[in-house]
Amino acid sequence: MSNRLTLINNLSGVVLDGQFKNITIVNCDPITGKSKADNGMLSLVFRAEDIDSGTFVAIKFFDPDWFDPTNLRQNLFIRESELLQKLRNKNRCLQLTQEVRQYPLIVTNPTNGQTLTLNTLYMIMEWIEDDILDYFLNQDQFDAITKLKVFRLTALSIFSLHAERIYHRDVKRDNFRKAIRNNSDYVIAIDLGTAVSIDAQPNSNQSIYANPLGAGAFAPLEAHCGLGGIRKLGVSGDVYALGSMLHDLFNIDLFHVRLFNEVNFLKIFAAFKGQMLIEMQKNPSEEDILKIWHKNLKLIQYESFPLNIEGSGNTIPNAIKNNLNQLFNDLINLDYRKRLVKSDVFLHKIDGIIRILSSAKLEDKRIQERLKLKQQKEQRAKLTQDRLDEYLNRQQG
Amino acid sequence: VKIMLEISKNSKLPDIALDPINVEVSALDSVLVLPPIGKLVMGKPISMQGQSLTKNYDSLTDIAKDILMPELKSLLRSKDRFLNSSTYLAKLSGVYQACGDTALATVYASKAKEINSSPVFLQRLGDTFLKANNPKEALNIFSDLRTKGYIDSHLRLAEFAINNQNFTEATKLVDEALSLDNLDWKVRLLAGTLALTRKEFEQAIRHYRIAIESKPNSSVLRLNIAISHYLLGHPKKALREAQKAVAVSPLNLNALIFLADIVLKESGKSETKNLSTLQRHLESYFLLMPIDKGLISRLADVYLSQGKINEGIELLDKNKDQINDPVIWNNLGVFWSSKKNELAVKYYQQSIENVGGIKHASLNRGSSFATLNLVNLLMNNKKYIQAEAILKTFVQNTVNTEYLEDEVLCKVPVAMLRAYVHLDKVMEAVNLAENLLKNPDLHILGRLDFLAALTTYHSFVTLKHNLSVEFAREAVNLAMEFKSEVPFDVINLAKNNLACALLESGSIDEARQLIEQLQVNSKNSEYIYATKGLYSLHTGHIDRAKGFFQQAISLAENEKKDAIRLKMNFELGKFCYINLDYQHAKFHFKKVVDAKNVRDGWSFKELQIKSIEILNEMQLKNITKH
Repeated sequence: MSNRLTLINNLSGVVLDGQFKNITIVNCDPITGKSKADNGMLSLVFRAEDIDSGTFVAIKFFDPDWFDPTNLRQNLFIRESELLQKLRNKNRCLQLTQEVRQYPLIVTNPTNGQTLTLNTLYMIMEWIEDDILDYFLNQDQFDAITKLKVFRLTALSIFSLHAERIYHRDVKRDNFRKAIRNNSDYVIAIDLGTAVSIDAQPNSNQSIYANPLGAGAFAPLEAHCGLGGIRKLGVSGDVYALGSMLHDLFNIDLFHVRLFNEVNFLKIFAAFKGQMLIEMQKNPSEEDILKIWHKNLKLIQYESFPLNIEGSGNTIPNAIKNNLNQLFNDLINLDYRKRLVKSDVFLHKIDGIIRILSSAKLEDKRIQERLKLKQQKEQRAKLTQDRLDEYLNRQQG
Repeated sequence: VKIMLEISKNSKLPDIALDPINVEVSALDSVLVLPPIGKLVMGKPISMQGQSLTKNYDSLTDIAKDILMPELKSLLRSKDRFLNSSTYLAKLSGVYQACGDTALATVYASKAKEINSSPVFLQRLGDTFLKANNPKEALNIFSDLRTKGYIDSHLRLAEFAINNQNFTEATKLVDEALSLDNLDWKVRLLAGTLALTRKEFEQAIRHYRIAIESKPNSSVLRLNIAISHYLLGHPKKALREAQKAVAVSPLNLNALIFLADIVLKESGKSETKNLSTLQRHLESYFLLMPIDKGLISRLADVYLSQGKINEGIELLDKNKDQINDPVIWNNLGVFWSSKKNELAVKYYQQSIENVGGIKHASLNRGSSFATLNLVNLLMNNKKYIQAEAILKTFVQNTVNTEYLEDEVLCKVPVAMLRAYVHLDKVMEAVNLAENLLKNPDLHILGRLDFLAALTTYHSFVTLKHNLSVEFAREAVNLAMEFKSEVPFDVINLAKNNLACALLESGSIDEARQLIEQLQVNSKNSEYIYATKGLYSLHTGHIDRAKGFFQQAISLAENEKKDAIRLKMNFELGKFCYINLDYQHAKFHFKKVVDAKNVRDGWSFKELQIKSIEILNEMQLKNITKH
């Protein structure tokens, strides 16, 4: 039996720390222990009930099956907890309930049958139930204003991380939850496993960043070309992912499906990736990498982004098409330096768009009301006329 | 002054071979393929490339599929929850499609359509059928959508019609789409390209201009406009648009090729700014993109035009083994010809050997050029007999001229003409020229070449000036008729030739009008000043004539300086002789006879012979003492 399954079985039916009961595994199959996620797991997430408050919590365990001789992964796990500590009492951020602790997991060594104790790390955080998938995957059930408001909150949750000098590195629709705090709606970014502090020392081994750390489909061009480890680029990488989410709210095609069908983009993608991989083998300094990258960007400085937000069959109202496209282009610019990373400018733009839409909606409502009044008036006039006709007929009769 | 027109503007340089590359005119997912630039105006049929919707997906790299696969898994995790959402199903279908599973893509697109029958999902299903290689079902859906006035379906149907070469139906569909929304850029793009196929170039530009309002940074649209301008006979405007197309998308190979061809062939190699910009673009392209044979030849040509021989050799040397084809060997020969003749000969021969020897040389563009270049190199070294022998073998084995590029087709006889003249076979050369003029396949520039040769021949050898005027006039008419294909300076040369022929035949007034016209068009041309000098002599103003000639000499390049000086001395000698100023006449004729470094060709040789004759005559009559 794998260590992972042993842990799942051990936690089943027990009360952890004397406080958390009904512990059930969430992100992998409880029978096979196979991951439900897209890639290799770093942690096992359990849902449990807090006996004291009656609320649910998420218990995140470091995956005991990870072969981690240098403790690199374990350090990342600890880093996540440290980052969450920095975010305590921030309304727009995920809240940590309990810092990293050790759980003594007793496992059997399959080679000699002897038992040994693995001190497995875990931390506990709040459990937020509602995701935001409906707005993306059942989008025609929501009007544009609702979707834009959700997007606004989603972006703000990321910008609030940025304000704490943290970037997420795995922004995608699956990693957000809806919550109500102090009677206000919030969208919270979860899974900070790949998140890092902007000020943290970069990893000396740049080769581990040949591909994006988070979901590749939401990652910007530079992250695919081996620049994912450069701290300076982190914030704009998150912003790019937000842009692709904005696209998916209004289109029946996913952003990256459209993008990877653009021959011109693929050409740039393949060329840049190929070139940077060769350059990376020379083990250049961060400064040199950026120099080469800027040279590349200069080459495509006039290249319009291959996509317009208005894909085939999009549901963007006419009133905001231009403004929304402008915002979209600001978020997903191929040049990371030109992306909209300032939250106040973002707010100004998105609120403007929502206002336009609200006014248009209000105007529509006014027109409808006026129409209704006119119809009522006509009906009344008709009624009066009918009565008059009836009276005259009677008189004549 | 008659300067024999030669097809290569810089006759001293051998010809670099550029692989002919078709120009793609984009229309949505289809691509119209136009023949290489040099052939565009010859009216060859415009061919159409097949449906490229599937091509786009084929080009989706494995890397992209790897990136999308987790996304597919992520969507599938929510399958139970969103099975009744049409947008979810459409998205799922799209990801399956992108990952190459057309069967499941069709299943989910059908389910989406069942839940929501709006045109968007119908169109999606139609597209999925198309990509799954089921055009019949797709066609049914698009035809149904057409009745509902859904523009995208019109465009798909138009593409079907284009692929079936049914341009009338395609035009009808696009017109219908235009009536639904005349500002839709996709409709305008297709409308423009259809106009292009009908050779309504101005109309095409109008459509593209409207489309570009919505897509200002579209390299494809800019290139299409450039192509339309080119076909309309506006090379400068075409150049400007092609430059924009490359500026907005420097990795657009199609735009780069078009720009390179237009800069190299049209804008004049003297425009160093254009050349250096082009060089920068091409070099940047090679920094990132894999080797492209056609572009390497063009970059080499750019180096050659700027006299950057070492850079050219380095470029070709680096890529010669990987490319290993007659074109690259010929081009290496071209570069070495200015440094080391033996190496040039070696590379030309390698190019010819690459196709199996001189007998097969005409089957390949590179080896054809190599043959031609080798022959010219031999002739420059006065090896006329050897050159003539190679040319004869080449011509005898050219069974089908269809494969031979126009440029080669008209240059081979020019080389033969040159060999014949030097082997004292003038009559054979004239016969060759006259016969070739009857060949309908002869390229327009070749035709102009031979007409110029015949003009020169009658003007200098037979002295039948009426015939000389006739041929010169035919050349001008021809150049004007095909003016979009004939470089501007060649048209002016043809006009200049006619002006000279007219002066010699005594039609001074007509000549004056032509000269006035030329003065406006080509202010800084040495030829026009020389012709003005000739005109001044014919109107009796010797001092003014000398001034004009001197100006022409100062404007001309080295070799041409000598040629113009020789012609000036001959004409001044003639003028003095007629006006009984024998002393000055003798002075000028002697200068003609003593002239060295005079370019090849019968005209100047003839001037020297005639000068000797007149000097002898003067000596016989002993009239120089007067």
